[in-house]
Amino acid sequence: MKEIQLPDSPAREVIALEQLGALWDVLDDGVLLFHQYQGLVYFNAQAQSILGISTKNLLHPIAENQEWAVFQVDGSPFPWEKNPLRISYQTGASQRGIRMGVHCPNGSYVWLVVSTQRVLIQDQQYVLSIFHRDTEHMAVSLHEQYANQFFSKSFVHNTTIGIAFVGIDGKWLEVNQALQKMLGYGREELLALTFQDITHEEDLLEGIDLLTRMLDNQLMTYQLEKRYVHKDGSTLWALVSVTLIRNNNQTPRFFISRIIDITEHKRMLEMLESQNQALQQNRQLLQKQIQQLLDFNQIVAHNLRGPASSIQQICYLLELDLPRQQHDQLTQQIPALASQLLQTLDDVQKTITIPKVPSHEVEPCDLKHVLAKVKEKLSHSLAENQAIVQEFLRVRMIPFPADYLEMILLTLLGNALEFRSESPPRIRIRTSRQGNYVALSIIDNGIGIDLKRYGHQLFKYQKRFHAHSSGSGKGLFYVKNQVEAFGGYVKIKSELGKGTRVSVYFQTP
Amino acid sequence: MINIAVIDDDQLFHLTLDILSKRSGEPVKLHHYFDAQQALQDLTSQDPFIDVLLLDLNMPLMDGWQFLAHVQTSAFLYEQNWQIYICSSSLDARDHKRAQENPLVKDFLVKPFKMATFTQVVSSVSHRLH
Repeated sequence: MKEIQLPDSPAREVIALEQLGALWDVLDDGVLLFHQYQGLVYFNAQAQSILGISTKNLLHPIAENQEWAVFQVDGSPFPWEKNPLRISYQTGASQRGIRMGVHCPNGSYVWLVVSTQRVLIQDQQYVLSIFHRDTEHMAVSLHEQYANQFFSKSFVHNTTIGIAFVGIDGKWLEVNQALQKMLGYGREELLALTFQDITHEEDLLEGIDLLTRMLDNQLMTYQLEKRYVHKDGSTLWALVSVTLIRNNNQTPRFFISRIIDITEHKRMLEMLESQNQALQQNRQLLQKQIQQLLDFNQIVAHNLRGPASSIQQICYLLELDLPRQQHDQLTQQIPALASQLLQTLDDVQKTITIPKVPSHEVEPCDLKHVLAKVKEKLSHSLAENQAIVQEFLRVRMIPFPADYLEMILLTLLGNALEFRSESPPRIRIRTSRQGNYVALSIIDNGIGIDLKRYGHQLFKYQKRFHAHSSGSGKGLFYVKNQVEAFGGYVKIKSELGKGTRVSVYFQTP
Repeated sequence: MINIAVIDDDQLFHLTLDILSKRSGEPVKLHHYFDAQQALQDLTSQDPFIDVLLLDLNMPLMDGWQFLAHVQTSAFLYEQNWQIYICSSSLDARDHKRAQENPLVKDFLVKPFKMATFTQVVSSVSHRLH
């Protein structure tokens, strides 16, 4: 039977270990008893529950026991020479209220407040350790315990991904080298700042909102693209992933942030987007040009081949040795066919030579001046038909070459005069701004066009829709071609017997 | 007698057919229309007995395609069962494809029109008549 002699007890009574054990088991504190050589020789029920130790942990010499890794308050390993067990054992001085973290044999961490005392039991020196949980400290320094281990690993620094522990208040608690390099700050400089200090102000609210939602338990983790301000003042884009670490009683302790520099990625994406946009614009222009080419093809197939094949037809028939009258009838047609051929060739050339000046380089022209010129040219016809022309020009400057605008107005006003109804022509000219366009409308009270019937052919070359018209059927074809060549478009509304509205939309730069 | 309706705004084509039919010696009667709309009206109301239609494509007011669309939608005209030939100087592939896909169209004849083409048209009908 072992006996314990309590050193400070005045009576220096000898008490049986079993008796003490029974007493210690009812204490709220954990009790451990170490022997100089034998190591841990006794623990009470509390110690067992706090540290998760079992009888197999008995009888290991204190110094050799690797499992008993202990930490200081700042998370660094507890130096052996400061260990209260050692001090009490070697000097006999009792140690009180020492805070230390313990890495228990079962793998968990606990923070303890420890007191030690050397005792003499049957002439053998023992150290008695009495401790309780340090709940306050456990909460505060959890991150340090992680950080110390985590940031000591080389892989944490040998990466391009920024890694940081961030306090609930936004303070940088620990940062890896990649993040220091990314943001241009040294470690000490960063640890003196909060993440708010170096977040781009436009991204601050969103970041704080996400963190708040995470603290409120609405989010487990989040990812965010945000901007930081580099130490040199430049802006960098980062993809930030944040996880919140809570302690055992679910109190939020700190954030772990993973920060990837995506500035270059962002820049390339923006470049790609703008290129895409340019491509899209080119594509639309190309589509219009393809349509124009198809129209030209149509002109070649019909309007050019027509007279040419007629001439060939005449040549074939002339070989048949016809009577005089038929012979003459055929040869008389040749001059007209030849000039028809030439006219079409000229028209095609005129249409093709529309200059491809980008619409933003077009010098706007004053519609008032152009209209005056057009009315002058049409003055005879206007007077003859007692036509009234009314102008409602909310926009005067038209982003279109003056000479082309003049041709367009000549065509459209000419059409309005030609396709007049019984009553005197009343022509209204309106302009207004419509988004990216200036709209110019010519509204007449003429005979109108049956759009259901002719709508698909309106803008085709040499298509006429009125039986007794003198028109060439080319006017609207040119108007459409010219307007579209500068990025605009043409719309027509018409009702038989009521009138026609032609609206030309000029693209503004 | 084979009745051929010619629908074309081109005077020369009518003259060509006059010459060719006379030369061929075939028993052919030509019906001349310079306007598809007029042709549609006459062929619907007067009910002349027509075997063959020579139809131009590119005409003002109503073109060949529109004319065909009217024939397709009118039960009366459809049942006339005309042999319809498109006659055009067009080499536009889209026109040819469209003609090929139209069940009313027997063939696409490219102008200029020669005697061989004419006799081909006539014989296709006389086969049918006998």
